[in-house]
Amino acid sequence: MRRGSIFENVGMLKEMVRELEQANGELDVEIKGLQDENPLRILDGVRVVGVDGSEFSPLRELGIPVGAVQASRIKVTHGSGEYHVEIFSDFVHIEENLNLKRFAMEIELLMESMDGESYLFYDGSLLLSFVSELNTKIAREYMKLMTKLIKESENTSTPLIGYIDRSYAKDLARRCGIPNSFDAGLLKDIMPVMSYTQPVRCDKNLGYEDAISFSYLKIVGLPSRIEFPAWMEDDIQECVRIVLAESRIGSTGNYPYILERAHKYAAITAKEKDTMMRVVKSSGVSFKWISKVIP
Amino acid sequence: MKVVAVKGFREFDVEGELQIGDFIRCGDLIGLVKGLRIEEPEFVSYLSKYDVDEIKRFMPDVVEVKKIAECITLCDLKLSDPVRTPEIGDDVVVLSDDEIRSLHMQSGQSGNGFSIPYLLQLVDRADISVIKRLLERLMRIIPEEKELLDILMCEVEYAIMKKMQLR
Amino acid sequence: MSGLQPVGLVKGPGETPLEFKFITPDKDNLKSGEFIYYLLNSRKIICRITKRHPLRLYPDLYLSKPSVPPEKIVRVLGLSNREFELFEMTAMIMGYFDQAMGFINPRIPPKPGQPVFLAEAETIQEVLMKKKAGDVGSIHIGYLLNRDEDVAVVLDASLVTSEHLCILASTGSGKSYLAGVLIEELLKPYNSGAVLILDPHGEYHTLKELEGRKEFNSAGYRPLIRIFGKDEIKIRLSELEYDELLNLLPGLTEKMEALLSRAFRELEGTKFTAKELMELIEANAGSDAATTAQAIRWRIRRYIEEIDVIDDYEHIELKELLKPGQASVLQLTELSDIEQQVLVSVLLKRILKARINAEKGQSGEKLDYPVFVVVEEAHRFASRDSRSYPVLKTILSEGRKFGVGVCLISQRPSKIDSDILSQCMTQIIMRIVNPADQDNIRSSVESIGREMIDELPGLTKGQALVAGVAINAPVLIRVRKRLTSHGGISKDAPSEWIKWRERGGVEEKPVVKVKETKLFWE
Repeated sequence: MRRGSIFENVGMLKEMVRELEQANGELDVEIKGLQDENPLRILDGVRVVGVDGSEFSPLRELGIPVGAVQASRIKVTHGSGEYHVEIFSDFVHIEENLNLKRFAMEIELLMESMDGESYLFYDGSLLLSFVSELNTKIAREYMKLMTKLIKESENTSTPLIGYIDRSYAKDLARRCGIPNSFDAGLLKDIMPVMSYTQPVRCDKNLGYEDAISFSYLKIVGLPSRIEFPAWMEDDIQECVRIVLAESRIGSTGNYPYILERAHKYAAITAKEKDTMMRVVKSSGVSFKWISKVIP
Repeated sequence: MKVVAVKGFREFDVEGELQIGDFIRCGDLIGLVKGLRIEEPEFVSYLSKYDVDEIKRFMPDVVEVKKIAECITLCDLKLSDPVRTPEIGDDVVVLSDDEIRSLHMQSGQSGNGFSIPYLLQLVDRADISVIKRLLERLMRIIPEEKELLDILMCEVEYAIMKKMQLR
Repeated sequence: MSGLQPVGLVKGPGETPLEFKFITPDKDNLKSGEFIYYLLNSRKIICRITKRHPLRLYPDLYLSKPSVPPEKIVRVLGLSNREFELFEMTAMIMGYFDQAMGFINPRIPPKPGQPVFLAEAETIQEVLMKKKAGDVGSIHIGYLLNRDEDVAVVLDASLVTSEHLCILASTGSGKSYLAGVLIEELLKPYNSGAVLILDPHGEYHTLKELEGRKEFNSAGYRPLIRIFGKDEIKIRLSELEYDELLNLLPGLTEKMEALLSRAFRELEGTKFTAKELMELIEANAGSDAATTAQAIRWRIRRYIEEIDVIDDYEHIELKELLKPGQASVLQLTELSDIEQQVLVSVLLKRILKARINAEKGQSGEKLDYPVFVVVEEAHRFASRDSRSYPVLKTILSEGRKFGVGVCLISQRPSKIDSDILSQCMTQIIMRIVNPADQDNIRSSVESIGREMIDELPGLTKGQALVAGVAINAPVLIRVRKRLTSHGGISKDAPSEWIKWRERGGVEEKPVVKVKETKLFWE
């Protein structure tokens, strides 16, 4: 504990950040450069699918244990002008675990899209590191869904990409004995602009992770992490080219277009939240009654 | 189609493919499309990098524009002045010619009197071209009242004509 | 119609101090010319409506298609159809009525918001009329035009007959019908007038019917109607004044005039004949002026012997023509204009003289009672270039003193000299369209306001404006129904053509027929 406010001690923070990023040279990873190609030429004819979800539980505070989940799927065949947007939603009791419901919906949408041709983009990690904190029943449910998804990808030879924009994963750092640091931070200065790291197989932890590999992709700034079923390792360059091209046509130039759009469609807007609140209020049902009826 | 905004006692927006002069029903309210606009499409943020054609081919969903119909509440199903506004999210349906006809022919004791009581209100609230279109439509749907509608139309056209006067 | 219920509320003053405006929702009852009153210290202040102005006009749009009634547009636009019509009425304050003083203007206009009442029939009668129908000396001429109920309009016969009357109207508006009503009234028992009718068109012979009607007979009174045809109207040459004689003979030289004058003076006072006059002129002329005498002789033959009304021997006696309880109709139909003018001139001069003689106790022909002369087509006799103009002018200005009253009837008032017209103190004016005629009326008749003149073109057959001394205020009337049939109607040419053909083109035997056709109400 130091005397003084955060403001006064901000120098120490700077020191720590520098430490995190300075442990370079010791990472055991192969970095490959990418050509500066026209992303439209790469994507022409490529079909991509983006899936994202969101959830809303505004009524928890009011004593009404009901929540809403919404998931979206967008399919675009680049260069053809064809696209298809679908939005799905459901209302659930909070006890059913809003988050799991959302996850299940996302997985279902991805499963349905396994056509052996499309590149499927999932906004988030394929590694369910958080489940270790959940009770075993729910954790098993998560793992069962993810395992099925990975298997289906392999069975149908459908590329599946979990995209993590800002990853604090420590797989590489830990392997190199720098557990206080994180991979993206360490790679930021090592990786040149427009480069990626060769796939690395994930550590087996809960049991299914060895079927998943990861790479980092740097366009500019902090590298993003991409995760994919291990069967895709051989063809990783093609996959990375597509992720890069997809990211460059996005509005920021640094995030895949298809996920940007999926996120937009999945987001529950303020207007939708208002409407839900009004429906509950105008239903004339007392909040107390609802909380009694619903176990 | 749904109501997406309520802007005042008689004015609201509906998202969807509508035309100027369409009669719409929203619950027990009858409205008229008096204006159309497009909400700024998302593709403008991509325009710095690609031309519109490329955006259409590669990012087709951002080209999709939101068409907003600006509507005015005319009356309720009984042709009386409205006493409430529509609500956001209310479903909106377009009235068919037959429905428009029976709406306008319901007044009077015998129930077949022609009446357009909202017209005076509309004169203050809508563009004159909207009123012209409305009258043309009514003339077509209710031909037996054409003579009377003609009188109103004459006045509308005269008002338009007067705008051309040089000062 | 009841006076208890107000018909409007006062809005405020009008354009002149005598006017005020009030507002009424009344659609039917209040017409221009109607009598209303407001109360001032519980006195009824009588006013006449002079203008009726709709306040809420339909916008032109609502009136653009004759086949679509504006009420329908109002209904279609969702407006209720209730009481749109409001009228702003302008009323002229006449005043409260005092039997001795007439109308007295209170000089206090009604307050804004004060109620206005419709004048009741009794009020109107009491205030406007000097006489009641059937009174001695009353002339029940018709009914108030504005009222559906019969509110009798009654004139004062003594003022009508002594201070002269004119009936002015365009052709076909019913003026001789109205004169018929007037004459009927004068022959009622309560008047038993002495009336002479100069009838250039033969319209008055039907008055004969009244002799047998019960309305005219009472306790020994039976009026007499005498019709004089061309052959019965005679003036003896010797009764002519020298001036009249001179008038009859155009283009006399000074020499001729001297000869004529000399002969006339010598014969004056005797009942000479034209032949005697000519012989005397020739005798006086001798051989020196034989040609001059010849010229006069030619003129006398041409202008006097040819004129049938001038006769050497026969002469109408005034006492035959004018008697109380008698109307004499002189049918001038077949007389030339000059004959008519000479006749009227001579006759009226004799009548005036006879009345003067009677009043002043002078010797000569006398008429011991006032008389009333109805002159049809008065513009023929009362224009400045007419031979009868001087005597008419004299009678109109002095006749009242001696009890000679005249009723002038004309469709061309602008041709009547305004000095004469302005002496008619009672005026009955029917529909007049000609602006020159309206102007002449406006300038000669002071008692009629401009707003009343404006009503004239709008009157229809049988409607009239009555003003002047015989009534307390001008009123619009509908003429009452005649008891005798109307003699003056237009020829129905097509039916006569057909009749002629049906007869096989043979001339009809001349039969004097009284046509039973009536002009109004049927």
